[in-house]
Amino acid sequence: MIRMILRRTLIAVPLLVVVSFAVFALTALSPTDPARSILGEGATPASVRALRHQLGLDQPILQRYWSWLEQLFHGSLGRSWFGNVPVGTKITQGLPVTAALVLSSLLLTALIAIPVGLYAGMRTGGRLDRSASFVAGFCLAMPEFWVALLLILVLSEKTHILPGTGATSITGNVVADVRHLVLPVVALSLPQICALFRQTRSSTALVANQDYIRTARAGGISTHALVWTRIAKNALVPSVTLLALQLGRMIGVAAVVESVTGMHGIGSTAVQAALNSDIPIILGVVLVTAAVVMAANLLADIATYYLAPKARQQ
Amino acid sequence: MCLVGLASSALVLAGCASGSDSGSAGNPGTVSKAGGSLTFLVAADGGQNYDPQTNAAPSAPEFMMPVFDSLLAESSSGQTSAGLATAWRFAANGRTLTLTLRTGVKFQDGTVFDSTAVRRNIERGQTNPKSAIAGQLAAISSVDTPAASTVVMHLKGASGALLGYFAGPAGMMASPASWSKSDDATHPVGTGPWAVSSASVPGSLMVYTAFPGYWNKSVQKVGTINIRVGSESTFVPSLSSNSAQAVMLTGAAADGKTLSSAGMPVKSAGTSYQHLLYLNKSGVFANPKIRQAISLAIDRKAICDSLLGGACTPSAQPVRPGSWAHDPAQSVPSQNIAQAKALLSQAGHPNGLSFKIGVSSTGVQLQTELAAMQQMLAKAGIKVSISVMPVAQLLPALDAGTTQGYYSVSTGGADPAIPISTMFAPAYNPGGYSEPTLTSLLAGATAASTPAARQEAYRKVSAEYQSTAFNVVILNQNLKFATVKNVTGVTARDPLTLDARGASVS
Amino acid sequence: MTLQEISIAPAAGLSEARRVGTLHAFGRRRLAVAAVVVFVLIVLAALLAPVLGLHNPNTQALTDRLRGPSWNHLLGTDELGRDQLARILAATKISLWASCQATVVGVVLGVPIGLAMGLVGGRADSVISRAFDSLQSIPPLILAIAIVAIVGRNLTPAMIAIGIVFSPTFYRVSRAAASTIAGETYIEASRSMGQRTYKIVLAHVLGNASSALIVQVSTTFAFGILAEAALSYLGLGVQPPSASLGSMLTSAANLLNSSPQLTVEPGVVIIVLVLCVSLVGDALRDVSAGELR
Repeated sequence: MIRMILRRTLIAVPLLVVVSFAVFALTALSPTDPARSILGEGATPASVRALRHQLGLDQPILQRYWSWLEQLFHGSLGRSWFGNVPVGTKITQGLPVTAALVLSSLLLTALIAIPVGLYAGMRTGGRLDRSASFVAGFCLAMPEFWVALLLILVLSEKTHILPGTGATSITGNVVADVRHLVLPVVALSLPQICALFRQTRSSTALVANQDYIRTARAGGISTHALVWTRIAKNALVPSVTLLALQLGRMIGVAAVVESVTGMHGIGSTAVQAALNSDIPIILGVVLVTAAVVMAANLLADIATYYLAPKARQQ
Repeated sequence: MCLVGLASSALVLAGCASGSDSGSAGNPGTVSKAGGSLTFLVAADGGQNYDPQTNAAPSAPEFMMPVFDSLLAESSSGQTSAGLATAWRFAANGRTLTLTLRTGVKFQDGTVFDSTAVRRNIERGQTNPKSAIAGQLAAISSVDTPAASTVVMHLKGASGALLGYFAGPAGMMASPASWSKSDDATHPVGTGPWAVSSASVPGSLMVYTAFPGYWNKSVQKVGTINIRVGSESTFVPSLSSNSAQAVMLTGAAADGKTLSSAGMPVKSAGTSYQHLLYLNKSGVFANPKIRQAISLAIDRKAICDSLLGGACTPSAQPVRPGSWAHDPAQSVPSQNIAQAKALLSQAGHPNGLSFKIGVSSTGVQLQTELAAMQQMLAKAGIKVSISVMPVAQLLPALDAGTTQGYYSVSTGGADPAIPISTMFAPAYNPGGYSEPTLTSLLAGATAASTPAARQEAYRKVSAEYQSTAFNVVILNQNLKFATVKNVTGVTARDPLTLDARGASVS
Repeated sequence: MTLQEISIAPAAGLSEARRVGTLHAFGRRRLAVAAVVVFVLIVLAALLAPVLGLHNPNTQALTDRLRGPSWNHLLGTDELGRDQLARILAATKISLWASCQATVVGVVLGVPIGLAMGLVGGRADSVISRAFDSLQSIPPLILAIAIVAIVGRNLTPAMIAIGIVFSPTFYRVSRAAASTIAGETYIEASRSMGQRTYKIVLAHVLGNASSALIVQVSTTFAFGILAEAALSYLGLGVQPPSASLGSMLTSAANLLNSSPQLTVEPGVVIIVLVLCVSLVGDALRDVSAGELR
């Protein structure tokens, strides 16, 4: 167990290096001149050249990557090209908002999809199963940002039940924050709930139909006990794996939802940076989100390990 | 599953702790020590550089409003009034400008505002390589400080325009001690009623708290100002839900109908918000006939009525209709395709021409108008392709020739001299195109020092600008601004600024 | 028959039987058939739109803007007076073409390498697998946004980015299929008879992997439509004057309160397209899972 954690953490470092170098290498293809972007409008060619030299942009790409790594070891992610703001600052400002959005969505997804999926999987073909599966198939096809727009229209503009903007920052006032988070969280979660529901349902059905369960049932063990001792633990293994995958997917989709609802998380920061071709910020966001996803995968594997002892042999 | 739940609550709590720690920041309409807080909503973050000397972006002045006072102020009829300077006098030969400064004024960091500070501000504005106002201060050859509240500027030539410039960013006085600080651009220090608070998050929310040593307490009725950045589609929902209290209505909600039907005061701003097409005149557009052809091919009234619901005035001059520098004798050209085609043939392009126009990726309204103009120009044989780009790339593209036009807005300035000088600056006029008549009229206007003389001179510049179609101005959007019901006293002025001085939350 | 023909014939016969069985089982799932029909109808409408006698999607009529559905304009008009129905059909064509591009990129990047690594195994396999793993640890949309940020905002780079994002899944599927086959005896037998490896691959592996790959293609295509919509909505995908379903939503969002139909219409089309493709994919998966029993 400990060895697996150590091994995975150690592997994460070279993986992140590969990721960062790939992104860095792509910047050699970038058509934007960052010096021009920083100096802005009235820049003379001489001042542009001077800034390029100052930023080290006239050096070969391997050398630039090495200095970027060195900078990283000293705890800095560099400064943005557009606005000259430290990248680390922008990321720490946006992280709480995105974390609140994504984690709340993950929680909501698990809280709704897993119980409903378990129940539907135990009684396949029943009314709940059929109606839930129908709704799930439909909602899976919905783009999250479109759902957000419609929710804004119905719940905010036409009826004023909820505020029309997402939480621009986490203020610490729980009631206000939750009010501002409801809309984006629901929009972000909807397709994920459906996907997780279907996964949970099918793996529950699979486990519930296996011989040893039928034998146990025939032997008189109550369904309730069965659900929690055997079925759930085994059926949830793929669900937990899916949840970890969904975390990764949600971080990406959160970028769009943040843009629609006016939230200032790292997702919308990344979108703004992409629109401005602000590479240092993009690099920083990619690195941070990749690290988060790797950590989430590790957590999911640990959870799986404890959930399904039989899987330990694999 | 349990681990995920634990991890999530831990992260959210951590997030709460590291977020804004100022209780009233971001919390709308609560009463704090000095009398409530006010949240303004804007669409752009002003480039996260709030140094008035180096940032000329139209979205930036809003962020400077709480922090800076200007040396002088100007009324809508062109009359200069006192600001940080209480008296101003040109010498008889016009070669000296003497300002008498207000006494007892302090900068927000505690240092004293005096003539030395003014001199250092002017020198920095002239010598800083990133300065956007160097052109405005070029007429000043040296500055003397015979007394703590007297500034004597020696001028290279008559320059009445200085009175106008000092009503704008060139007159915003910053504390010289703040220039050496690393966060100077995002946390500027001026003499204004509200100082930048450390709770600010540049790029999303700037927080300003009342400066206790301010010299004019009567306008300082609100304790905290928040300026939040959000997209235009969130303007109406934010006001409706009271997460913001004042906003200048640009974008699709510009008519304010939703808000006024909800009972919120919607007022006319009376500001400049000109939609205009800058042209790179170093190529084919050096010929005024071609520029006039473009101007004549466009049906300004249709764009105004259809795309902006009539909340605008067709315009062709560099200053908005209604400004004292606007020449009322010139009427706006109506669409005349035949005349446009004739002009093109005379200029040697009987089969029309094609060129590329750049527009900001965030300017959805502008993109829509440009698409409509594209179809109008096509009727005259002018094929336009539209290039949507991020803001930072627009002017460099115009300069490099990647695009030959740039459709954008001009937000005027405290004085018409400011936007007019910008339009002739190299950034907006690549290749330094000039025309003898316009150049001499401009020189005369810059020199004029009395309000009457300035009005006459600037009207001539404006008229000549229109007849040569220096750039093709399309319309001036009559912006409105909205506040929530319990907020009074917010005023609007050029350039695109809502002022909280005198505003109160009841 | 020569030895060559004997070794290939059984495999061919098996896939033949498999293919006929697939079509038959597929037809039984009526929902999937309906989905195929709807999808084909939409594709035909989008491709044939110019000759169907509809309005020109680019003709503006400033005095006729933001109208609701009427006999003249079945879905109403947009903010410049252009016919919504014509615009949606034109945008659908672009959205579908975009998703094709992304899927092709994903297949081309993932399948050949996956098949090769599944057969070969060893160190190259673990290195390449790690590389694809690291690719998958970046959230898909963030990776796409990053690639577009660097290479340029346009539809093709955006779709190549989406394809790169999908390639690890294709890699994994084809690698799994190839490594399953690699151990089977008839491959060993063929090898010992002197067959060249690539012919073995073509004959056996593709046949085995094809059903799993086809399912993956349909899933990817569905996600591709959603991903392109998101990127174009943000302004990172298709650029004016072209319009896709996603970019139509950008300008519609500004008119959300006054003209909600402009937001609803493209969204519904996206949902229908994704639903059809997903239903087909589900049906294919059920059918191929049924085969394996």
